[in-house]
Amino acid sequence: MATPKFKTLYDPVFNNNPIMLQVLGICSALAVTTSMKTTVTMCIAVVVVLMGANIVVSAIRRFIPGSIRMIVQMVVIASLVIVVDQFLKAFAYQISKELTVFVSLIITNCIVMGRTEAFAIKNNVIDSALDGLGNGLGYSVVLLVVGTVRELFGMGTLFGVKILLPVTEAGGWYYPNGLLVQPAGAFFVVGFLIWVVRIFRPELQESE
Amino acid sequence: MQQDSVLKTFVVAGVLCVVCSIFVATAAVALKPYQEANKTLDKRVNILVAAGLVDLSAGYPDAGEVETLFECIRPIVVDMKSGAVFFDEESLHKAENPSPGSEIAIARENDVARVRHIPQYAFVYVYKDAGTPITTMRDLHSYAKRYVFPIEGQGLWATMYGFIALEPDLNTISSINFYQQGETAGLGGEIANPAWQRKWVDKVVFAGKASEPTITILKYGFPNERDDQVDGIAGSTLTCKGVQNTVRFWLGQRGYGPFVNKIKMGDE
Repeated sequence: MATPKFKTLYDPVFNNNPIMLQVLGICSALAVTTSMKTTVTMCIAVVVVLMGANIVVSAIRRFIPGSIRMIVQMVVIASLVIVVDQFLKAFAYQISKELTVFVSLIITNCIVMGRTEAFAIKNNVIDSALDGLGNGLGYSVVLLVVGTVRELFGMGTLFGVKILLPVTEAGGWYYPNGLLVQPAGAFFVVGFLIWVVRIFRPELQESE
Repeated sequence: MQQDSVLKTFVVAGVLCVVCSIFVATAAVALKPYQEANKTLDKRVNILVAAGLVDLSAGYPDAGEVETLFECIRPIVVDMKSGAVFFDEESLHKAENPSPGSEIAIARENDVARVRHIPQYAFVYVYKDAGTPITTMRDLHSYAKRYVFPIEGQGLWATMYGFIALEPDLNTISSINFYQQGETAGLGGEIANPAWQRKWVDKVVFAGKASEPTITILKYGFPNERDDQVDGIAGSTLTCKGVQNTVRFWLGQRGYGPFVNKIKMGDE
């Protein structure tokens, strides 16, 4: 089952998750996870950019001069992000308004440049595509978990639909925890996730 | 790794830049019509929300619905200095595309909303019945059901953009909303919460015969005793101050005040 191809895809989702283990891309993970709508859109955008950047960089890897390697990667990533941003503005205007600058900031997301530099520049197109997809999904899994916790307990809704009825409105029993909607709330949730992962994978814990 | 020649480096960089620019430019140009349509639609939806015709908690209306509802909205142009009103297409076009340098600068000591300058010709959106044309001041007096004023001003972190709608007496508030703001989520960001915005309904902008707006947002928890006082939001004193200043500025003599006076006095 664990063929090398499958491993390329599967590894970054569970074993070597970019957020939980490499602690990359935290800034956007904190900023966009206040509601599930923005979270899902952000996940899709990151997966598209990661795969696209990995494929393009891998395809032209033999032509890229070493001295301007990083600049080339940056140009490719930036172009992809601008195009994704333009698409969101054209077809998902409301959500793109909520995401504001965070789509453009995918350019500086450490995961994207990290993967093109660490993987795509040395590997073939198919492996690079899988690596991009895997890392994108790894990022997405964490974002979706964080987004679910924050929107459900922070606002009592999921995808904007009321699940827990808040006390303040409509006379429900649940009082939304405002802390979770704040950036600090995301830190708590991400920290908690990292802790859970390390309980199940003790080999990750640093030696004293 | 072998050393690449300088020439090759330049050629690769050049080709890459050209390819990427074509890629980006194509996407931007091809998608522009959709983006423009979205922007216009969004602005119209926000005007409709302010006029009380659309409730966003019931979902975002589609383009056709907005088109129909917008027949009840008549944009008019107001000269911010004199309060004169223009109804013709040319003036609407002029207000839509202001000539550079035509803005009115606001002196620092008067600039409570921190807008720096305001347009010379500003839009006011009049809510009326779909079939009624409004082309004169007399029509305005007879048919206007609400006046929607675009407002903007500095909050705690960023500029807040919104609309305030007044009843035809130009004193009673029928709604306020903010469609773009960057205040602290959960605290100042609550200015976008319809539950708080509803507290403005039926409040008055001017107490008694005051010529400048007296509307005040109280600190959270203070007893609300007058009809020109709105309850504040907990932990958002500075944002509320910004909202109060914004409303006071735009409805005051340096904002839409001259127009407001004109309508109040029944000027033809």
